[in-house]
Amino acid sequence: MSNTIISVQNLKKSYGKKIAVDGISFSVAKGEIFGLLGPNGAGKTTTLEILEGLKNPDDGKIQILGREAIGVVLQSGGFFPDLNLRELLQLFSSFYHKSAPLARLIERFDLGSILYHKFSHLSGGQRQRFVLATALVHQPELLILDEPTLGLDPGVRQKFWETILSLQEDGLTILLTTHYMEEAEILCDRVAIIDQGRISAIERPVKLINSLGIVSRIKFMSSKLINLAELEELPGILAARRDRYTYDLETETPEISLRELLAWEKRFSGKIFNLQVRQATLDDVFLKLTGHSLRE
Amino acid sequence: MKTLILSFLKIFFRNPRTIFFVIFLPAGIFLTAVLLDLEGVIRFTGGFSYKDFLQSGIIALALMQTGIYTVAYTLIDYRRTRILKRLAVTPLSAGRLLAAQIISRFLIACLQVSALLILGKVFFGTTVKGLLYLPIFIFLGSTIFLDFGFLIASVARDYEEAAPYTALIGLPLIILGDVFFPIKNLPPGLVTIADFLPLKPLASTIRHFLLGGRSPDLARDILVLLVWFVVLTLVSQYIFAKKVYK
Repeated sequence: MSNTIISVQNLKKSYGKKIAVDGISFSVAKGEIFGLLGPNGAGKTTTLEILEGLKNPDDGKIQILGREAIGVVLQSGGFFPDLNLRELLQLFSSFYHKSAPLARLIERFDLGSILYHKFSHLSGGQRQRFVLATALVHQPELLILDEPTLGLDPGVRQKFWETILSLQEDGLTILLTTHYMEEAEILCDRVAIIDQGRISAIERPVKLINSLGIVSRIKFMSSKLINLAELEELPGILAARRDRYTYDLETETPEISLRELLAWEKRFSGKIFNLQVRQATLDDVFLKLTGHSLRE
Repeated sequence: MKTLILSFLKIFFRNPRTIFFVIFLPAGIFLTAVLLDLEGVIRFTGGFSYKDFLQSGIIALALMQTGIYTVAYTLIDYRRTRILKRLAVTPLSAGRLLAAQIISRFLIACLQVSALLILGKVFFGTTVKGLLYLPIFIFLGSTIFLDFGFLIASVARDYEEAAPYTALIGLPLIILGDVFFPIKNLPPGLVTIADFLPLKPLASTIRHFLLGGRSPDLARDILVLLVWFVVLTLVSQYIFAKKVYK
């Protein structure tokens, strides 16, 4: 049994003249959380729909598990409005040969109190839990999620991330799309930066941020004037600036520079305060790779 | 598939609007048409009345309406709310999905026909003789018109587009359907067309069995129904699977 769950090579798909996916390649290893990060219209959903067997590619090679082994979470909707959650869970598990004990799913996703509710009456968090439960009724090996936290409030999103990470601990392989860089940074073992149907980089989020030489900033205020040259001599500091009482340091290695700065402060006769570190994020990476921000 | 069929039945019985359209509307049309009392205009021979004629016609019409209208709109809704997409990512095939629709709708159609027969027998004293073969033709008729519904739902993107299609198919069928009045006095060309559209053969066959075996065209009518059944079922399943179930 190979360690690769998904393998995509030179995948292409157009709608008329519009090219949605323009020759992308990636692979997802067993047990990994892999993210496709990109803005709306980048080709993420089309890629997922091809992998789910909903669309045929124009070109390219795909290797993926069969439907019995894949659980899918769509971007929205997908449930009969006149059935309650219990009936929907039973219905979805009837489509598969293998099925998870519903009682366990209900407990794990805390659906006990809303089992007789209709999907349309659920809150955002309840919906998310239910949608995950229906995607897992057949104990799949691979879970595919399309923009799973779109429009959810931060608390719910946080909870959802915890759930996804716990599913990974159980051995599930997860492929998701997102245009929230924070989500990609927290969840994904590896991220593919996708824009206009092309992948420009595939890496661990931290590595992406570090490898592109994007600087982080350390800002602080000081009770006494500091000689900028003295700051620039600290290891890892690329440049130092001062604006009235605020100092602004650029660094590629914020962890090292911060430690050095604090060590230096002990020798310093004044005091520094209001210390802030702004780390480079995937958004900076995206901007650097594609020339525009994720939010555009 | 049993769970899916049961789910469709639950969905049907939880929706008061579809119950109205499937059970009460045909009953209402039946009542209204009886009140028209065409007996004075058209003579019915052999001891049968206009009500007898009408009963079979209304049954065929009701099967048509359920198929073409309600199912087309239901499926368009399922597509719009991404239910079809969610089902398509499971191992459930388009064929099994439609088969479950056909079976659940057949059960509903049996209920619908029973309601109309009881109404006719109890209130208007209509003739209700051979019921033995009736379910077969309820199944054929119901499925043929469901197939039309599947086709409309595969071609139309929304309600606005579906409405003219349903009218386009429904109207000529009703006019030439032998439903409200016998069409044998229409120009021969029209009668021939009617013979090969699905509604008239269905009405005639149902009439034949309910009134106790009097149709000389029975074999042809059954053949026409079987051809529609086979061709439409294959074509609609194929197009639905290709165009919509994804």
